[in-house]
Amino acid sequence: MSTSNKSIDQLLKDKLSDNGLAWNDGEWAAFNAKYTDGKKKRGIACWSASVSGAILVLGFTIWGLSKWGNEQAKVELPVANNSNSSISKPENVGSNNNAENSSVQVQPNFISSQIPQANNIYNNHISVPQIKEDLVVEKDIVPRSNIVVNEDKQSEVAETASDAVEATKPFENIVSDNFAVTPPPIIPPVPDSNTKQRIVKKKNPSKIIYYIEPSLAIGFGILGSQSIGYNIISANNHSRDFSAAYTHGFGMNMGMKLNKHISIETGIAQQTFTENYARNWSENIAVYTNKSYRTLKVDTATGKINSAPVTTTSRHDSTVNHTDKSINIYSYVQIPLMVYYHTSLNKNFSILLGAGSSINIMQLKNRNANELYGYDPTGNMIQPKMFASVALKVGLEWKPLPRLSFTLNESITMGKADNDIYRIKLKQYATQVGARFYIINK
Amino acid sequence: MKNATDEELVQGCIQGKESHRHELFKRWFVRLGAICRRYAIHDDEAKDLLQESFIKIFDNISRFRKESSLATWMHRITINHCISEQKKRLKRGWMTPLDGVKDEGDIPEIDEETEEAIGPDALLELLRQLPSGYRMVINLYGVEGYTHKQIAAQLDITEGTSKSQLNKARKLLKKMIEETKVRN
Repeated sequence: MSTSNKSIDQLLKDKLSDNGLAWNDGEWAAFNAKYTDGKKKRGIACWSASVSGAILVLGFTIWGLSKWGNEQAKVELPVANNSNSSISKPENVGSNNNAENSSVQVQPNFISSQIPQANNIYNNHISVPQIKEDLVVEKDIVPRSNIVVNEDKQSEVAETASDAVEATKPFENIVSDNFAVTPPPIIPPVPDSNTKQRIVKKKNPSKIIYYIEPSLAIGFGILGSQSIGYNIISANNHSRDFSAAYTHGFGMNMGMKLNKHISIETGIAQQTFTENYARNWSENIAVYTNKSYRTLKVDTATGKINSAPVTTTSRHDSTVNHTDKSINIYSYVQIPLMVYYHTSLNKNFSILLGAGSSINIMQLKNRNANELYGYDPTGNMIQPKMFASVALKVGLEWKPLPRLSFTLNESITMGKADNDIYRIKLKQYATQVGARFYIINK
Repeated sequence: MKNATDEELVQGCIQGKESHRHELFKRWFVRLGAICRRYAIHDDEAKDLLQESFIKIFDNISRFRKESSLATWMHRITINHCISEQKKRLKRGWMTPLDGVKDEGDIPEIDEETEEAIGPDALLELLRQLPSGYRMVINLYGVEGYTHKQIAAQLDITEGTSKSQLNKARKLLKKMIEETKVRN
């Protein structure tokens, strides 16, 4: 082995350690564009995730609070204990057909704050959570006149009630006799075997809530956009116009139903529209090939790109006649915020009317699907363009299952993207189909 | 800015100053680019790898704790990114274990005349023609100075596989260098 020989490893180290890429000033511009673009995208993704997260948290909070509120709002008639329940048990009601024995007996240990609640009883249901199986007694079964007060406690009630009458107007229409005398029986005589059916037993606590609460639901879904439908996009790109393009895309939305009629929705959607473009034209052009062997058409008169990059590697510096059949692809990400109004047609179908706005980030692609970016004459990437749009929607929601629904929306979206590379007035008519899964379905 | 120390540049990058990022990028472009070129199969890919490595560097520069030099830290990020991207591309099956091959065999050598006959770019082209597994291992072992244990951990292979890939890579590369010399 000769001492002048060199191992393969050493040879690689010596020859390749510093054999780096050639530097030029365009490298920084290209990198910086990519870096800042990435930061923007990450920021938008972060914003979108934050909004979605906030909606979820808000939704769960409201839902939790409303549930808690319901628990608090249940009418709880004061009872000493279960055995002396203020409402007679079904067995007692059913086994007695006279008024005195079948009437509801209210323990007279009212406090003033509870008296108005007692007044609400007659407009709603009576809930007695302490009883082993919750009872709901319909108001027509137990009218106010059936409420009696134990005589031995009557004086206490009178004092408390009179205080309450002063403090609470709704109680005015209840005359004192209602508490003292049992009017004629309203409950019709029925056989024992049927009596239990007249006492509505409900195990579901939500059914014994005595007021109507705002409903709340959170759902998310996938929208398949333009899988059926069409779009019209008018764009003015320097001297030329194109009028029609096909758009397709998909997205995920997350929404929250604030009440029976109103819901809000946000999400993220990616859409691509493809311009199939053909015309005969001539112009002064120069075709540059950058270091990545990507080529550009440049209008020598204006110095600007007047169409998407082409795939040829040749260079022209004179007037050229073309029959141009280009396929220009514009891709954009849409972050919508929509408000919907719901109207139920029947149990399974409802109509949606929506309005809102979107933030859009549009990126010009060229016909080569592997090349995400167009390049300007200096070799820098064309920056994505952010613009806002507004949208109106009308849709139909079909809910075959409690937690699953399908939607069909017709929408019109309008926006404008304008920079040196492309000027696009977006007027998009779209048909969207989607599915929603309701996490919470009240 | 040209006279700024690495530490000053790092601080500027942490504060989000573009001028500092620019200078750091410019200062390390060639050296880190050399790493990317060895792992990529063409310069476009090398440029992408380099840009992505710099994005990682700038995104994580606040985590640079000066336990090693900035050069070492940036080298490590770049190499790790190159390996990670190659692994993603190649998925599974890009290396075949070959047990029983030992590393103690002669390391192929080339003579001085051959060394002078082959330039860096020609050598790089030959390196790029090696199968991906060979190229990764000979890069990590021969140029970066990793041990077989470290290579095995990085590439999720056994040490035996790493040794066998290295031996094969050396022999194949030597053969290719000699053939190139004969052709020229």
